[in-house]
Amino acid sequence: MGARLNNLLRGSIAALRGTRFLAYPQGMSRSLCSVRLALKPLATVLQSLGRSWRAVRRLSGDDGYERYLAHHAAAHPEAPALSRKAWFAHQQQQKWSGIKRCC
Amino acid sequence: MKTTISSILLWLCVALLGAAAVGGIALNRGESINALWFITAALCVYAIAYRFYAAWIAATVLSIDATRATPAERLNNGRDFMPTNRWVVFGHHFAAIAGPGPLIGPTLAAQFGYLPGTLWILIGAVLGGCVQDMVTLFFSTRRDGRSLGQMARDELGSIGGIAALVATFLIMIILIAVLGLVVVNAMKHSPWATSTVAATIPIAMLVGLYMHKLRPGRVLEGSALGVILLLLAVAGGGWIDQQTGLRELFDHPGLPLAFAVIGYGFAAAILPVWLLLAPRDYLSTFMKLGTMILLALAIIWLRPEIKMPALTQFINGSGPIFGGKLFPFVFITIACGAISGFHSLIASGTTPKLLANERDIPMIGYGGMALESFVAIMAMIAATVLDPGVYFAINSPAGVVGKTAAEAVATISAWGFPVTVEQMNLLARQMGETTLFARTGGAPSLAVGMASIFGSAFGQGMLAMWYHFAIMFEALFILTTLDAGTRVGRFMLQDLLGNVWKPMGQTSWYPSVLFSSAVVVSAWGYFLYIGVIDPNGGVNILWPLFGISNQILAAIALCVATGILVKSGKLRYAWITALPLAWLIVITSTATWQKLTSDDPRIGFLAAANSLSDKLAAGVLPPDKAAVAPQLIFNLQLDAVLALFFAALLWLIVIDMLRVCLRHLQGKRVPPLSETPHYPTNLEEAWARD
Repeated sequence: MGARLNNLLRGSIAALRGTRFLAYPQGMSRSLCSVRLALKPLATVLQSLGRSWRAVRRLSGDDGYERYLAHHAAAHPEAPALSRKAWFAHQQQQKWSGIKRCC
Repeated sequence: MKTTISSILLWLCVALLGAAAVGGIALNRGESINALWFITAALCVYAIAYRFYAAWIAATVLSIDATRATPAERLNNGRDFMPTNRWVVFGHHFAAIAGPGPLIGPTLAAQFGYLPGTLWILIGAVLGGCVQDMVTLFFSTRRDGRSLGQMARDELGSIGGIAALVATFLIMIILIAVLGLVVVNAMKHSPWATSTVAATIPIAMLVGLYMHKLRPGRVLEGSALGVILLLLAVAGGGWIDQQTGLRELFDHPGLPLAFAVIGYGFAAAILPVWLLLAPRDYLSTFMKLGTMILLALAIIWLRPEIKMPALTQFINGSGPIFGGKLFPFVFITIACGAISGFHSLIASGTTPKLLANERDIPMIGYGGMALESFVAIMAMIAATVLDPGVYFAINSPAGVVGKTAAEAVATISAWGFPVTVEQMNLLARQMGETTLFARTGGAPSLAVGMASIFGSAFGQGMLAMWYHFAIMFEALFILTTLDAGTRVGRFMLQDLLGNVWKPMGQTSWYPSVLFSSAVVVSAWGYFLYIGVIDPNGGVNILWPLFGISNQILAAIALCVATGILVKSGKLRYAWITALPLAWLIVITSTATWQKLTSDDPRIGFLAAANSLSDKLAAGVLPPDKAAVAPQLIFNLQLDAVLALFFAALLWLIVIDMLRVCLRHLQGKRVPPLSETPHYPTNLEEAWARD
């Protein structure tokens, strides 16, 4: 859901600032111009929403698998990556094998 | 930051505001004072200390080098070593260091009045705790993220290494026992609290199954599901409390609850981490952050008046919650929130492996501890906004103030803190409890304080909900600490036993897992059991022992840091760690001395053992107390031995550190610095420092 929500947000931001609206205003009808102006703040809001959502995912580790895949593709492109489930199980096991919580 | 007129003016304002707030808190007598002053004082002190002291230490003493590659960069394996955004590291580090400790210590220390604890939290944090965390983080980062024990062995010698290992193991046992006792006391004869806390276990398992099997790795979805279920469990506990027939199932005295916690601890330690520990940790982290933010907002919005006096008569050592004078016991009681040795275990070993750049060290090491200290200040506020009479009625054990409600209110009112039975009964009814008398351990009084703050801010009608929400929130991360601590104790024991007989060292060999878990659980289970049968509440014995052990661990970390500073030719700056170290040596040695030799049975372990055995011999004890007296006497003697052992451990490592420093200064051979060589970082261009 996390990644999908992200894509949805990105998609709508792209649509809002899409070619139709962001094209050079010359020749654009008056009404389309005002639509563009009205939608501009919406794009900004969506953008900041997207940023906070990405921050929350990153802080909580929700995007961990995506980050692992990126790291894996960069560091060991020849070896097959772990499945999402195997990666998560491995990561949990490793996290709790040392002192991770204190008083 | 460039020095400009405006920045000078800004920091001058912060300094003046901070000085006014601290002065206002310190000099205020007789009139009530607003909690906002505490928040202001704390924020100004942290800001100034961070901007000037931490920055000076980073630049001048440690010579932090932004061009140097960190272990996360050099040893990046995408798993434990991984350069990570500094805010993410900060989040992980803070979630790891901030447990129930900074909530309980200040609550107990409020018996001296609001002033001593508050000042110690502020001064201890900025000069001691934050420095310890920051320098340990720095030294471990310069040593490939090695643990405190390894650094002690490399830099000081094997004595230091063994001392760190033994201290860590023992502190873990005492910590788990005292935290277990806090949960048991919060659940005692409270069907609502017991059923809610019990419900957290299947909820955590459900979330574990969700994150592991159903939707692997979807941490946010699983946590959101869990948080909703936890809130429903709080409401459900209220419903159970109303059902005759159902409520009796969850209405238990302390002893069966203690055995349940012990059995739970054993089960949790041998279950796979994904099923219980990992999901509960996600839940407790979200709950902790959410509740702390909510509490801070409520305090700022509501600006409650502090009702506790600045100082109470109990600074003379006659306090009902724990015996002992202001010096040294306020410094022992508040360890977490001022200086906590346990942090050095997180700051070495775990966090350094994530640092992308050494520049992030002040923010994560110093800043993380400052934030924990702020949590302790909020706990102090929550304890002191209560009527002092109510505070003492909740926290004083029956063995001190009297068994019946009438006796207790008479004793407490005679101290000058008026409280009535009606007032306590009304409060208990509002909080959905049968009684709030002698609910020792700090959790219930913190929950009453939080409920009254939340209740005033968000509606009085939900007081009982808020109270049980606060209990659930505390129990949630106490159980996480209990589980994680038992597991770490088990690993350490397996490691040790592996030296004797190889198969025992295999962490996945089931007989070894069962055996070592059983040993660790029975060790803390023993102290928990004694704490529950002790008519004086047990907390008054265990909490000081925990404080002493935690600060001795801090002293070990500071010894390692001081030794490294001296060996690096920075003798003139070694006071930054030597000063807090000297203070810790003074307070822990004084406290241990008093715990061993005091004639007052409320302070001295041996005096208490002797007085109890005299009473037993004279036959003046009532039959129920006489039955447990031999066990209590043995335990008091054991505690004395333990305290002596802690002090011996401390002096051993201090003398060892001094020996190494002296030899270095005389130009004799000492263990060489184990710092890794300088490799330039390649991350700077590749890394957008967002």
